[in-house]
Amino acid sequence: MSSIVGKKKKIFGNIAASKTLCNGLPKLKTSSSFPSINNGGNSITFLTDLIKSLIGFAALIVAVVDILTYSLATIEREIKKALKVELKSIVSCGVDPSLPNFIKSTGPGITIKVNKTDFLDLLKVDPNSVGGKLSYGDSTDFNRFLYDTIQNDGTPNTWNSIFDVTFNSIGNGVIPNNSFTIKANPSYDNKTLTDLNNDFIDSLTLFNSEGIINRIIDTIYGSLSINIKKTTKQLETEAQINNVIDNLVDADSGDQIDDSYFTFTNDEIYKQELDSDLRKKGITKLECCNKVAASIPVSFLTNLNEEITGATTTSEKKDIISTNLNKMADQTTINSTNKSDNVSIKLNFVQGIINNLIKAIIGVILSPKVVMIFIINYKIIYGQSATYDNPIDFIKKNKNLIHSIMKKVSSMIIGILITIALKKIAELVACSVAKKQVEKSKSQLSQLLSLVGTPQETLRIIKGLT
Amino acid sequence: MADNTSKKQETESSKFNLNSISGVLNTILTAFSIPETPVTPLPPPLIMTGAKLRTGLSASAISARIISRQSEAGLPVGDVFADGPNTSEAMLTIIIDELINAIHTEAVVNVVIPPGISVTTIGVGNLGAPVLSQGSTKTMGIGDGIIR
Repeated sequence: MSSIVGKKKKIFGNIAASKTLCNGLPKLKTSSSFPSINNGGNSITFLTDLIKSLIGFAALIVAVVDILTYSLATIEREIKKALKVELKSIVSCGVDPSLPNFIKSTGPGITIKVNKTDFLDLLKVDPNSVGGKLSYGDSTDFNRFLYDTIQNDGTPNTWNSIFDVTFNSIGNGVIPNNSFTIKANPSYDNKTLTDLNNDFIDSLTLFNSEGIINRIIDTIYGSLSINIKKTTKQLETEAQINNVIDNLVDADSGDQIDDSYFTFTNDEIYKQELDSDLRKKGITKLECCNKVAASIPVSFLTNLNEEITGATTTSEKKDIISTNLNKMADQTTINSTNKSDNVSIKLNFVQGIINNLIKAIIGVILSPKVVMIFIINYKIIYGQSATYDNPIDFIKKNKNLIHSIMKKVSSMIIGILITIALKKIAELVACSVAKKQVEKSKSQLSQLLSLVGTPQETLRIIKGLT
Repeated sequence: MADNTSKKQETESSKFNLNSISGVLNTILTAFSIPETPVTPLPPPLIMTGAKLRTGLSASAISARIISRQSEAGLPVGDVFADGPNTSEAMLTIIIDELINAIHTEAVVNVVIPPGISVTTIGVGNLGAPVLSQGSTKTMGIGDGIIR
């Protein structure tokens, strides 16, 4: 038996034993309802399975709400730090740390085709449409800024006195069609590239709770995909990205990230196609129960987003997230043919949120607001023609950054989950230790009494045997 | 993904690293390892006298008690409720029979008597008078027993 799957089974076995000691009879089964009992290295899936078995739906949703309410700001800070470090390391490869003349306000600027920064066609979605409001951030979102820039064809648009960006739908000999031309704001003419990078990263709002929930629910149920009519190609690209993220999450800390993480087996390609097809239909198949479909209409996300916008305190926001996630969990059970399956369906819903949190966060990194600054740096170092072919190429060329961000995020999630799991395990172990002590005392007494001729019936009563 | 990743050997320092699944699993497994106190020994004089009162192991008595409690685990008791011959009861009887038979006929108990047990001896002195001496055993004693 391999050590990982062996240890996982041992943990579930210990829990079953402790529960038997505490509650009388075993209530835990390590069947297919715990899909993480395998040799995979995904700690988060395993911990959610473990917590699911230990505490159930109500406690698990409290953990999710806490992560979404309180931890995202810390995660954003950590990601920004990692982005700055990575950009600095790219710049340090260049000889001259000062801003190149061509990107200065007086130079021709850097030209980037829209589709080389917007891998997933976000900028084709109107931010004022139903789906658009759920796909973009508020007015301070750089993605929204780029959309507005596209609407003002040929007119420069200034971002926070850092960049002047112009969209040109029709190019010339030098500038291709549908491209952005980016120049540093005049205030940066005498500053370094690192100053520009750091200030730009600081100016971004990467994500907020509602944006992350929108992304997660879309990844699982296709709620947004069906609303904004994402194409099969878009959805398959997203499925490929999710596949790579899964591969990287499964990687243990000592593993070397080689090309195998970015190539797919036939089974994986089949699953990508299946996932894309279901998302295009706006459904997911419930694994636990008669394979019925579940969906979460986009109105659930709209309501959540509108309510959060109106929240004035963190505690109010927390209540809104909690109430709406509970509503969504209930919604996923409506096609269930057996009411006894509803708890499992709701547990799987919450588990899905935790398991897809990293994908949602990496999704933000792959959106134009972050990809843009990386392309600028890439072009400065490797020349104007250098570019990333597609999102997988972007992840591959920045695999250390993506892996380090994923590890940071997963460490934080694991920290929260393991605290919950250990607390419950400690209660179980304490209970079983106390039971064992009582049992030992009863055994001692009944053995002593058996040696002085006390009848068996009396001894059984002392030991609690009927 | 092709499975050609190279795993590094787990070292003592990485044993509890939460960035790896092994570290997470080791941390959780550690939570279960609570040291337990040893059992309190029974008073030897009581064993000496009380052991004679024991009835000895009986396979049929044990089987009967287990079968009478089967319903606590949600299992049917007897043929009527088992919808035909109750094969689980038959199997249980075989298991207990075999276990008790093995304990009765194959098990052996090895007993170690630690050194340092106080002894009083009476011998004969130079003038033929009895001499009392006191001391303790210096070596451990080993005895065999069988389970009844």
